[in-house]
Amino acid sequence: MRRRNSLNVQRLLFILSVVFIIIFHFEKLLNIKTYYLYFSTTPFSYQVSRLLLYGLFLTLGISMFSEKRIFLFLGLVLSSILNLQFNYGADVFIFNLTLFLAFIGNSSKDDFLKSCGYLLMLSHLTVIYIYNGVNKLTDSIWLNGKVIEFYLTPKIGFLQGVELDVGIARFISLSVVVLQFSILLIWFKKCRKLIAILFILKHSFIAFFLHPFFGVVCVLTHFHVYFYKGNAFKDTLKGLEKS
Amino acid sequence: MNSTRFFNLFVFCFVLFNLILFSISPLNFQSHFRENQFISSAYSLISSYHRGIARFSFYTKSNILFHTSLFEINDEGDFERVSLVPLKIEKFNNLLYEIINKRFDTIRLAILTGHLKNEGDFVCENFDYKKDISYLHVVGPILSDGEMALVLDRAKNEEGARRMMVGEKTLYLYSISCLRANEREVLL
Repeated sequence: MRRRNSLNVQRLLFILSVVFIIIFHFEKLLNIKTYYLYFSTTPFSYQVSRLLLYGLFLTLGISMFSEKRIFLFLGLVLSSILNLQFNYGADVFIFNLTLFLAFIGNSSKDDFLKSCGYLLMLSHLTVIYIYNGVNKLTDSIWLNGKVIEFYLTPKIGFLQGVELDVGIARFISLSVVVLQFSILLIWFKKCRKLIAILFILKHSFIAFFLHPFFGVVCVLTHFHVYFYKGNAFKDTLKGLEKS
Repeated sequence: MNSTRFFNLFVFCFVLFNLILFSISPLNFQSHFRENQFISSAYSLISSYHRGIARFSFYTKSNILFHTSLFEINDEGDFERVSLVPLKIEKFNNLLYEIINKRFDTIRLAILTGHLKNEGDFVCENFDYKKDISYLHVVGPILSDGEMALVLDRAKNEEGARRMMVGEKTLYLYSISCLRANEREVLL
């Protein structure tokens, strides 16, 4: 019963993730002329980008109702060759999420490819946050809280009379660095849920105050981590041996 | 070896290969590894199929550092960032310019004028940086704010000289980057 509930939640999360990926790319379709200014210089590539986006919607749409991973992999290839501008960090995470989902698939059974998907997910997240953590750690402006002050002060302007204390800004900055290094703990099943929740909180904050697209895609990715109960590396090797 | 096993082995190799490339490619943006051909090739390979692969190494704090550098050079007072992605345009020696991004050892600039000659030398000398042609983007002529924002944002992700049309205007983008000459500390 509990396993079935868990699978239902994972399936719901899968659907939500795919829908969000479609919405993310749909924004590109709506603003394709703007994006076109960045990259493409010929009407040919303009039309090609449109076709690629339609193809992406089609493959991702079908993948929500099919257990075959081929549609997700097709979507992955289409988003890879999509010749439109990146939308800041959100694009990295959207592509990553598409990559993970292509391997994880829409199937309820655990198999080799699914383990590979989670192995990719945990590894990529680890790499991203460790690099980012090192960058922040070596940045005096981050550590002294100036960046947090810069972003948050205008955002809390509506709270009249409330000012962001320097000490609080420093504490938030340092906490973020600590949290980013704690990503290593997601490899341990016992700590995974806690770390995922902390990252979900962090990215919800980002979604609310800074970048909705970036924040939401990160939250969705960490929800996948939260509901993952396996041992990615072991399961992958086991799947390989079995075959 | 049956076909499933062969397929799984192939997938496993791809996953491992991807993980290795993904792990080392951001080093391409660190000063110690800048000349490393292996890392550079790994970065080129993975960025050919992974969208936005290097974005996470373009940590946003660098933009603030950049503007701080401008402050240090110009001595004009505080700089105010206008958005998460820096679109700050400053005037210096009758040039409009914008620093797009700064990494540990490299700054990127966009010079917003069509009247420059030998742009790389000018910028690198004035900013006390050594010239290395790859990342400076020169655009012109005068653009509207919207067009400017688009050009700058595009320039961040573009390498190599390139021509593009914005409305009826033709812009020429060039890339030059200036390596830090002596690892100068940024003063606050």
